Amino acid sequence: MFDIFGFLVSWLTLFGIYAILSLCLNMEIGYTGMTNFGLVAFLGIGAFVTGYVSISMFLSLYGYNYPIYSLDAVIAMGQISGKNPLLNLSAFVASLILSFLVSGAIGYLITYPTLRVGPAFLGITILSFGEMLRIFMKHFEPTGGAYGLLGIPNPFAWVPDPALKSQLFMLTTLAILAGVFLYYRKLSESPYGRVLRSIREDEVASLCLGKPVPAVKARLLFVASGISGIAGSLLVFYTGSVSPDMFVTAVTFEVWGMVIVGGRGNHTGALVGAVLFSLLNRVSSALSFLFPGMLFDPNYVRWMLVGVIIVAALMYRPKGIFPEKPIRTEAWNIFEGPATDRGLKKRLLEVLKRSARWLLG
Amino acid sequence: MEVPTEAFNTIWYFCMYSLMAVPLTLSYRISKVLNFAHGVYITIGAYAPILVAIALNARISPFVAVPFAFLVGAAVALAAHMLVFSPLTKRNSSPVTLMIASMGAWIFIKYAFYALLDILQKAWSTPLFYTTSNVNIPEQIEVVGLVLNAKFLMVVGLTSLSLSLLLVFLTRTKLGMALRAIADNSDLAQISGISKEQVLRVTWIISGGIAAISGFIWSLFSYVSPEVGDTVILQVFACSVIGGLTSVPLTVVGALVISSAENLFILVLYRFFSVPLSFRPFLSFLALLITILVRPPAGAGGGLPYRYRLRQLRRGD
Amino acid sequence: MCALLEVKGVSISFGGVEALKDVSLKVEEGSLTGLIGPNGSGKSTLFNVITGIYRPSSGVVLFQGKRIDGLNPNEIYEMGIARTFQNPRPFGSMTTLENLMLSPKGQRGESILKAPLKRSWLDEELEIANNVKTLMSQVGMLDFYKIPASDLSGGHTKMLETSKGILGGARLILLDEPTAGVQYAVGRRIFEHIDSLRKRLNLTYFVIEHRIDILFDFADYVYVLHMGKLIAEGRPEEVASNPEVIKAYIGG
Repeated sequence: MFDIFGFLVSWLTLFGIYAILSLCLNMEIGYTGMTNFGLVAFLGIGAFVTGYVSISMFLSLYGYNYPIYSLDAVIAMGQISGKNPLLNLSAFVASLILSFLVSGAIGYLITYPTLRVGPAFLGITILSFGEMLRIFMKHFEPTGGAYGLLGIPNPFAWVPDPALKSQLFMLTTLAILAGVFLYYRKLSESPYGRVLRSIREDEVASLCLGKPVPAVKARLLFVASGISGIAGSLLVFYTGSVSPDMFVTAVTFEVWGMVIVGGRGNHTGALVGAVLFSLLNRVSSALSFLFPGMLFDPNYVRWMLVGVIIVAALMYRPKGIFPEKPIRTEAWNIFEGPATDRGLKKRLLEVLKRSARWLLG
Repeated sequence: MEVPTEAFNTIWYFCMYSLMAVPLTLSYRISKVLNFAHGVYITIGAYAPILVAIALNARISPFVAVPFAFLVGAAVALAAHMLVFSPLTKRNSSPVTLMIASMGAWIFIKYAFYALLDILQKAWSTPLFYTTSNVNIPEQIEVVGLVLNAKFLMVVGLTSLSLSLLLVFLTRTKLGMALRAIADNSDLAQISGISKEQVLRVTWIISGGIAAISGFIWSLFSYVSPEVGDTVILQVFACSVIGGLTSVPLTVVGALVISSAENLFILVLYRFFSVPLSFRPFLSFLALLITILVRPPAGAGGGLPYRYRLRQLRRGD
Repeated sequence: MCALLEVKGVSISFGGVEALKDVSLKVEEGSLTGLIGPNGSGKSTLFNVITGIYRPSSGVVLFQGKRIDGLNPNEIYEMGIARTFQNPRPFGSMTTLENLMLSPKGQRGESILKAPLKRSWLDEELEIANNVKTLMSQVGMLDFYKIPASDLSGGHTKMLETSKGILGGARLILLDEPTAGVQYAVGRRIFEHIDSLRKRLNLTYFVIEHRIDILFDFADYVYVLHMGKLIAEGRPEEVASNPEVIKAYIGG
């Protein structure tokens, strides 16, 4: 029997993670004009930091001396990860924080070498960086080499009911997503957001207006990469495992697809794109589970669709479902009076109307 | 005569990277599309002769395999051009848009190929995701009294032949000069009667074809999987970046740099500084980074137009 | 009056071509100083050197007595030098209002740390918005605040460009061909506007211009550049009758 509720929970969790990534990429390309073709690298860094930190925390606190990638460690983790709620949750929080810091730091550092080169080379550099990391991690013994790590402790492993555990994790993910969304929205509606957009339009002109462009870019990439690291952390807690091949470049392009289809320079657009792609992901997984003997793996179809969607969107709807509109900052109040807030229902209706219009042209 | 392994590897990788990176540089220079789907052409070139050999249940001669791989690679590249790059260029898409479109094409072609392999694997009951080549090449040949490894000779020979043919084509033939004219000044070239569309098609045919040949050579030396082309993307991009994305000769130099870094320099680091061999990809990335720091390529423009000084130099004096 | 801006012996080459050769000039505080010369004489290059986009291979640039050559463009803006570009560079997809809101320096809301905390920058933002509103109504662009800058007409784009420097509290404003591409009447209005701002706000203007007829009516002092070298300087009347200058323009 097909478990609809379970499907929904798993979809919404994945949506949460995808949406965080989508919002980050949107800040990078949609607002600041930085073509990050290596987003998956920061996802992966966060993921591996999480795996390493959480398992090490558990093992050392319980006095086990196994290397974290060994079978003994996995078995030990299976035994101890459900025992102490406080430990699980603190490992969760610690991993999130460390993933943010490490991913962010690396994102920050990578900005400076790429200052003088245009979007093509920025993209190639970050992409190459991600690939290099992935290849390196495949041979890096302390984190399990090509096999990676297993037995990563879910923050809610101590909850006896597995369905409840998944739901709690989903809610946590969505809560983090909400926080990230609000944070990014505040950033983009502030004077800082203005500076970002000016950099996207014309770096040199912005520089000549006194904006410290390299510093602004570096700091943005710190934040966006750090938050991408948090997404990686969540992903790893969700799946319980991490391996280098989870972070192939195709994942970056999936996120690009989300931003392009949803609309660049637009937080709502990023979310809508994430809805679409996470749904695609879950549906094809469900199909390959329900119909195992198909001609070929439905996951291949999913990726083919991702490719087709990206190209089709660029060709026919490059502006996305939610094209960018001028952003209303506080300054507008002097000219117009305070903004009237549209209710949530109206906004959802707007989303549906726009999507329909986008499809039908 | 015994060729020391390191030298062998360096030369082999030099040839491979040259064959892989030169088409990328060429296609960017002429079409202004930075083609991320390039790796897939390599993979398809690796598999095409293999699949044919299995289908015919025979060993095939390299003289058949090479042109066949070329044709298949060329066909796929041409299709990508006509279905994706050409329509988008006509809509005046920005270079970034074209890059992303090439990524979309990459994903599509790659997983369509995966699906194809899956189908064929079931139909033929042979494992295809990790398989070897089935080409008729003798182990050794005797040339002027020296016994040489035939495969290695073939690599060097094919590389030199392909690159020389390309050079001759670009500099001596009318079509080749048309390609260069479009690359240097597209509008002027078109006014003087050169058909841009024809030039672009030829470019992609060459680009896809040569990349496919490199894939074929790869298949002679090791197992192939559908990830073949993508495992070397880092290195191939590094070579092209060293070539500034526009200069073919510099790309070949880049191939030399990268292959030396990965095969010779890493050994130096290993012997004297105990750097583990798994650090190879770092060296390629480092080469790429140094290039964009020291000689930012002007080819794919943008960025700040001068050296931005990170520390304040002087205030007051 | 002391020299606000001093250029001493500045030279710079690009790929073997000497764009500026040992150029020395002074811009007095409170003046409207002109820079003229045939196309390709290096005028914009000089502006780029002054504003820090290029670094001179020799010579120094002094602003209020302090060296600024070698500083980054944003640092130079902070010190009080603003510039416009020959081909206006508005931030196209942003509204006119947003474009102007970018000018003031040191806005607290522009820091990534303070940005999420609205209370820390709201007052400053509203104050700047009020100043912008005043400026926009003075130049008759009040109705355009919501319009993306790329939709503005040529004249309004020029006006936007010229207004940016003022809001930033700059002391010295470098204008690169403020009347390029507009009709004579509009050009005159632009210069009248510049002149009135200069007197009212005690600004200094250094202006590159091709419309010598308009410029000479407003400038206090003019420099003439030809092939990277300064060939003449003086008050407009002196320069207008200088045979070297005439030769450069006709013979050039």
